Amino acid sequence: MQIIITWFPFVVSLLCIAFMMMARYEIVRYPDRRMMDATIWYLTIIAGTFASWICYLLWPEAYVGAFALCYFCSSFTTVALYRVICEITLTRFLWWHYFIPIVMTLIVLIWSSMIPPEVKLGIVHGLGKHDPNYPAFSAVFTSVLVTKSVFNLLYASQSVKRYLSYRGKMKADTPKPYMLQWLKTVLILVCASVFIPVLTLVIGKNNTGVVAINSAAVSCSVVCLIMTVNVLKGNYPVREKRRIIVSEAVIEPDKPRKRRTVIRPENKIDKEELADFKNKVVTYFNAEKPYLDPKLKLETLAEQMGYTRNCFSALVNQAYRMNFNTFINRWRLKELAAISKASATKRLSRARQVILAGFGSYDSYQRAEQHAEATKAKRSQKPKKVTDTNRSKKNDNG
Amino acid sequence: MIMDNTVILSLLTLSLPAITALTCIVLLMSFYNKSKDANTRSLYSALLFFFVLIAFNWIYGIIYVCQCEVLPKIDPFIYCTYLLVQVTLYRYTYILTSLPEEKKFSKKHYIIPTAVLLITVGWSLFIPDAEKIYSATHVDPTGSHFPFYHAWVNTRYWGRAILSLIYMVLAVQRIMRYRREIADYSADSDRSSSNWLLLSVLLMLPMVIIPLGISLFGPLNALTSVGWIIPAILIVIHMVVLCYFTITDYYVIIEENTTENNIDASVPTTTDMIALNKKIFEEYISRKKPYLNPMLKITDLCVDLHTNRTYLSAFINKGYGMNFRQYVNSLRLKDAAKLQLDNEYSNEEKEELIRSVGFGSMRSYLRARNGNATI
Repeated sequence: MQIIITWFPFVVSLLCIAFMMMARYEIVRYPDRRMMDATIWYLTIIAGTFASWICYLLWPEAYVGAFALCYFCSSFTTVALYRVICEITLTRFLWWHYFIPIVMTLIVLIWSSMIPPEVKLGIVHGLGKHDPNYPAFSAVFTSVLVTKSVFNLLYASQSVKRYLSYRGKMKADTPKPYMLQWLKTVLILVCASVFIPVLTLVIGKNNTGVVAINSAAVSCSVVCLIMTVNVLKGNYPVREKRRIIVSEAVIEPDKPRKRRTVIRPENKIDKEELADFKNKVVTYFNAEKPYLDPKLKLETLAEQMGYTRNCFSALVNQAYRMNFNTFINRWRLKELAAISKASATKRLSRARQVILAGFGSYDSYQRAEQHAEATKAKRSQKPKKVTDTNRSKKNDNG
Repeated sequence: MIMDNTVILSLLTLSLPAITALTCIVLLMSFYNKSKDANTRSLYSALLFFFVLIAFNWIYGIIYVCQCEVLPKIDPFIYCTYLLVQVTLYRYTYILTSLPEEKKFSKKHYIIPTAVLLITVGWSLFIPDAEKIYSATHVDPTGSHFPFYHAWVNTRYWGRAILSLIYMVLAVQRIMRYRREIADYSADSDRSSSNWLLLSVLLMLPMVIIPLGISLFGPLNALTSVGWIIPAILIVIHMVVLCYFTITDYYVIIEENTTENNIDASVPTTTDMIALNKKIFEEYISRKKPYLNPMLKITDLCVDLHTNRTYLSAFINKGYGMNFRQYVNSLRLKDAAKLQLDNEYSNEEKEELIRSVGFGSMRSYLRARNGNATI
C-alpha cells in the first residue's frame, strides 16, 4: 500500500514535467524560459525524492546504489522551490544556495563508495539499525530525515519571507494573475509538510512514518498540479531584461504635492487649457518617459501629473482625439523608432527593442502599429462600394 | 491476495494510466472557462468524459487484480465503458474537425454501447456472483454453468477491438478531410495542422491490441503480466498529448460563415460588398499587414474587405493559384527574406525574426519554406 501511495505523486510529478517540457518547447522569451526551467527542475527533484522512496520500499539494492542521489533529492527539494519563488517574485537567486547540498552529496557519494554494499544493505534491511563497525557512516546514512528537516525549515521560511515581501509591494490595482494567490496555497502546503519530518524525528518513525508518507504524497501531488496549472496559464509576473516590473512608479516624498485640476464634465475645455495640457505632456513625457512601463495605468499617470482620472482622460480625448491606450502606444511607437536608430540599441533584436519601448509584448506592438496605420489610412481613403446592379436598375426604372 | 513483486509491478503499471487520466481531468477542469464558446465547451466536455471512462477502465483493472470479490458489482458496466471510450474519442475528433453546415455529432453512435449496457446489466441480474467472477476471469467456458452469458461477456474483447478499429478509421478519414479544408481557412499552419490529433488517434492502437491479447492469454494472466507496460505508456502519452493540445488551444475549429446568411446587422450585406480586385486586395494587404498575426483566419479579413469567406477563398485561389494559407505564408516568407538581408536585423535571433513576420514558430516557417504549407 505504501508503494502505491508513493507511486502516485511520482507519476503526477512526471506528468507535470511532461506538460512543462512541451510548453517550454514553444516559448521563445528568455524570462519565461528561466521560469519554466526553475519549475521543471523543482518537479524533477520531487520526482527524484519519491523515486528514491519507491526504491527503498521495492528495491533496497537500487536504493543503496543510488543513495547519494536520494540524499541530494531529499536535501534539495526546498532549495529548488526557493529558486522558483525567486523567479516568480522577481528576486535574484544566488547560486551559492546550491553549494551546501552539492558539497554534502559529494561527501556522501565519496564516503559511500568506500563502504561495502552489504553494510549499507544491512542498515536498510535492519530498518535503520546502525552497523557497530561503521558508526559514523551509519549515522550519516540514516540522517536523510534530519537533513531534509533542516533544509525544509530554512528554505521554506525563506520562501515565505520572499513571498510576503513581494505581496507587500503589490498595490490594490495589480492585475489578478500577478497577485500570486495560488503561490500562497503552495507555500501553506509546503510549510505543513515541513513539520512532518520534524515530528517524525521527535515522536518516532513507527508512529508517524505512515502519516508522514501519506501527507507528503498528497501535498506534493497538489503542489505539482497547482504549480503546473498556474505556470501554464502564465499567472506570474515576468522579469524584463532591463527593468523589473513590480509596482507603479513612486512619487518622491520631498516633491511638493501638485494641485489637482478638476474639470467638471459639463465644462468645455477651452483651447488654452488644451494647449497648456499638451505642453505639460510633452515636457513630462520627455523627462520621465512614463510610457516605458508596460503596466502604466490612467489613474497612475493622472496622479503623477496632478489631475484626476476623469479630467486627464477628457483632456487626452479632446487634445489628441484618441483614448488613453492609443495615446500611450503612440509615444511607444515613437520611442521604438528612436531605439531602432540609436547606435546603442539598433543592433538589438526587434522583439527586445519593442519591450524596451514599453510594449508588454510583440503582439501588443503589432496591434498598436496596425491601429496607427489603419487610422492613417482611414483619414486618407474610404473603400468603394458596389451596389447590386439589378436593384439599381429597378430603381432607375421606378 | 499475496503481494509479490510481480503483482506489485502489474499494479503500478495498471495505475499509471488511471493516475494520468485523473491528472488530466484536474488540468482540464482548471482550464475550463465558462465564457468560452459552445464548440470549445463541447470539446472540453467530450474530453473530460473520455478521461473519466479511461480512469474507470484502468481502476477496474486494479480492482480485477486485487479485489475480485467486488467484480460482480462493476463488471456489467465495464463492457459498455470499453465501447463508450471509442465513441467519446470519436466525438472529440468530430467536434475538432467539423466543417460549417455539417450536422452535429449523431446520437446514433451511442446506440451500440447503450444496448450492450442494457443487455449486460439486465442479464447479469439473473446470474450468480460466482458465475460473474468466473466469466470475467476465464476465457475457457468449460467451468461455466451459464455458457451463453460467459460467451456474451467474453465477446467484449473482440467487440472492443473491432469498434476501436472502426472508429480509428473514421477519425483518420475526418482528419484528412479537415486538413484539406483548413488550408483555405486558417494561415496558422501549426495550430491547424492537426498532426497531434492524428498521432493521438494512432496511439489508440493499443485499444485494438490489448483486447485481442486478453482474449488470447486470458484476463488474469494478461493483467498480471509485465508486458502491459508498453501499451500503458502509449496510452499515457496519448492522454498527455490530447490534454496538452486542448488546454493550450492548439487547434482551429472552422466556424459557421454567418456573413453568407446576413443574419447579423453588423455583417456586410450583398449591397455593401465591394468588388474585390487584385489592386484593392494587395493594397489592403501591404497597408494593414494582417499576415503578421500568427493566428490569422480568412474570416478576419472578410469584414475589412466587405466580402465573405467563400468569395475571398475563391478569389485567392483563382487570382494567385494557391490556397489562403499558402498565400499568407508566401507574404511572410517575402518579409522574412527582406529582413534577413537587412543589416539592421543581422544580429536578431532567427527565431525572433521568424516570429516577427507572423510565423507561429520555426517549425511552421520551415514547413512553409519547404513548400509544405498545404500539408
